[in-house]
Amino acid sequence: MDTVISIENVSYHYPDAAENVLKNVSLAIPAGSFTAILGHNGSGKSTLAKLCNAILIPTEGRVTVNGLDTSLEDNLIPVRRTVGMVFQNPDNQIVASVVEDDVAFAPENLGVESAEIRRRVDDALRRVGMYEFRLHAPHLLSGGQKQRIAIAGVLAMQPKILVLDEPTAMLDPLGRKEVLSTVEELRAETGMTVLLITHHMDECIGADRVIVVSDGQLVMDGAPGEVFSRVEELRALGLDVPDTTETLYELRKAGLDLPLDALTIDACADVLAGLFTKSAE
Amino acid sequence: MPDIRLESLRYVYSRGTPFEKVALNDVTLDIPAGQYVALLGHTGSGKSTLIQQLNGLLTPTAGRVLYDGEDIHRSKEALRDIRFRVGLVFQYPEYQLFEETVYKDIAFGPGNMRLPAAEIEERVRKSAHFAGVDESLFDASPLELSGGQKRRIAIAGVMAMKPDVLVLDEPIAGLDPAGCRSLLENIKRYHRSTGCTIVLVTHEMNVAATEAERLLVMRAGQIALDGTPQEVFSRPEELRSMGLDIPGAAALAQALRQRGVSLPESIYSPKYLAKTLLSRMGGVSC
Amino acid sequence: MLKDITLGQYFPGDTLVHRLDPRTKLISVVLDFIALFTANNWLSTAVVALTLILAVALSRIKPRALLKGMKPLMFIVVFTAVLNLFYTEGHVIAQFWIFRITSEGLRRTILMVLRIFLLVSCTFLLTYTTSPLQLTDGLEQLLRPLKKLRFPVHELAMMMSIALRFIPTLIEETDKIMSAQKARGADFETGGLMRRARALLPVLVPLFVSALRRADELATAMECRCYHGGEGRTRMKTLQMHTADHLTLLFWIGVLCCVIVLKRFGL
Repeated sequence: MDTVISIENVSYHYPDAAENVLKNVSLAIPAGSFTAILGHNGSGKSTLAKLCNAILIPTEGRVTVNGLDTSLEDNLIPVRRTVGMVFQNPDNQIVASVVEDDVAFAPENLGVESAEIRRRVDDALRRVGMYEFRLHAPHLLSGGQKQRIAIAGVLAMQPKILVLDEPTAMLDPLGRKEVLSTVEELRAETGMTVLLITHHMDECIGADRVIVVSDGQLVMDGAPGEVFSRVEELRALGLDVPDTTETLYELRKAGLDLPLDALTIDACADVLAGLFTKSAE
Repeated sequence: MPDIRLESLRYVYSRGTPFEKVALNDVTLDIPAGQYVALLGHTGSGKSTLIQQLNGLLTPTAGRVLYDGEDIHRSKEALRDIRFRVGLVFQYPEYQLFEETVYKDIAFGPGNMRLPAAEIEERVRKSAHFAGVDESLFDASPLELSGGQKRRIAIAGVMAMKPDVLVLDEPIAGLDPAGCRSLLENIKRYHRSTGCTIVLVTHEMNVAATEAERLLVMRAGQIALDGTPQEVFSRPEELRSMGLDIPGAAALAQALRQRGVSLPESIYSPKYLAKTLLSRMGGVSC
Repeated sequence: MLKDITLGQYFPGDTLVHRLDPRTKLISVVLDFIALFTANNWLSTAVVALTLILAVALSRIKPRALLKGMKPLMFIVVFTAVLNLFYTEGHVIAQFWIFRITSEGLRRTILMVLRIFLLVSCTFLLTYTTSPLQLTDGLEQLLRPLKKLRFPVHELAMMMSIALRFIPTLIEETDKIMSAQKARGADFETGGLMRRARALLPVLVPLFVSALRRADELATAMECRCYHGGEGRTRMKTLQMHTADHLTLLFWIGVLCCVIVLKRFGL
């Protein structure tokens, strides 16, 4: 697969800070992949996200998006329209007082012709299931709905990559589900590359790849099953594992030979139920 | 320490406007002193309204809020007093910090109580300790600290009023797992050493299951379920129909039951599930 | 509470008034203002009032919503009414203690209250039927000639629409912070003016800090969506004047002429 985002030996420190938030990080994101980036607060995961669309420029090293170097002024707009970003606080990324006007914001900035903007806005709103709300005032919507509007606002740019920086941190369980299933549907329908930054372990279960960031470095990188089996290490990093993994882990400690990578409730239940049919025989 | 009693409490928002909404509908509830209660329910179910009734920030449309057997709205003085007796920590409390130093911010509540300076100082130190705020931060500006630290400072600010009841609205929202764990430990320790009542509003079922001795689940302005974690989580279908999750371990236990493994209804923690499974297996293989 | 303030609120709809070009509505409001300040007698004021009643009826905005919007201004209305009522010289029709009511005073008071009411209603009708974005678009278009004088028309319009977008959010936030400080025993209701002003500090500081944080995050979010100033920017909804707009403007000019004529002939 082609690499759409390539991060090469990148270090970053904020202008007024002495220490690097990211320390010599290298990472390649293949087209069409779903990557989850996990890390505790202050691990540098949000900085990593902002480096992907030229909101931040690496202090050292290089970030390229579709081969475009993010540090070049001329690449700014092409990079940003390729990498759509959704942030944590839904209130602080909605610009307009009417849903559809907000979704139109990005294509307007790109100088798209008005009939085409209309088409893109309607399409984006349908994709996130918010078309009926197009004339509503965003501040009266629920957190999950606002976040879907934010996603639609990004989709209207027709980006290739969607970066979501803790999109569910401020939402209730219902809102969280809304947003995650929207992202899942988008992936299924468009094959978009998705980068999900989170500290909710269970949101990573569906990812192709989980990367754990700690103290500005990538400390784990693998399929969710692989990463979550390292229970002790994750805990030491201030992270947690899903209840499924923890149950399996407890049973392993008691001496049972069980795989730790059955992450979904169903997969895990199958493994555990297997124990009983075996021992009954 | 006094009990709280809500009697046929009703509250209607924006009465007489198109936005009129019944937020609490005939809620009757007793919270005995010293209990650790978790309040659950999805957004809009009335949780926030309920907790703002507990310290008189909102006035009931009908019904009464009794504290130690007396109506909290009986007089202006009583109402002011109740604010200090029932400490309320709002959601994202870090956004309410305003003083120049951490110390002054924690001292704001006790200062409003017009306590002597020595008493205030002692309370600030104690509550900072309980909330996990290091004394070395006392002279720092609260605005320059990390989100997690700010939140602890805000919580210390309410603890410093030495309330008999501490109400926390989503205190762990947005914290990472390690931050959640340590804050919850702080709250538990505070509960144990002061014996005060805790009302914890949360969306996290795992948290409710492990922290509280009693769960209250709200739906459409009413208390829909009320019981121990075992009792409440043994009704997964009802919880799901209310738009709530059940703890992962409880869902796993349910999936196992569907696969013919007989398990008790009261499982909601991975450790307990593992233990039960081990004993079951022992039973089978014998 | 604060949430009840309806100033600047938009009620979406699909009536003739909603559909008018915002420029038409803005110019109409200006013409209405001129007409109201020109009108100095019953008949001419009645003409303006009738026009407004017609507009309200067409917009299907509930008159109650307009009245509700008046509430915060009640103090000013009462104040000017009292001033006019008791301090106008002329033919005395009622008198008690040191107060005297003259027929001129009564007439002037009624006209004054009516005029304030019409002014405010007209403004509310504009904001109720025009989305803030349309409004700023309209302003931006109307002020466009000023661009040549290096006046930052686009930037101002953008600032205005963002301010409008965040008013409800900040009002809600103020409510929340006030409750949080009340929960810590803050007292906003008692004490003298100085004490009360000081008591607001615990609300204003967090509000200000939070507004800054929001501004910062919003700026990043806007950059992420390729915002780079007004240059090369297109709009989804381009403004277009239709027949209804031309007719409305003609109608308003008619009303204005009518008022002038009525005034001239002192009817």
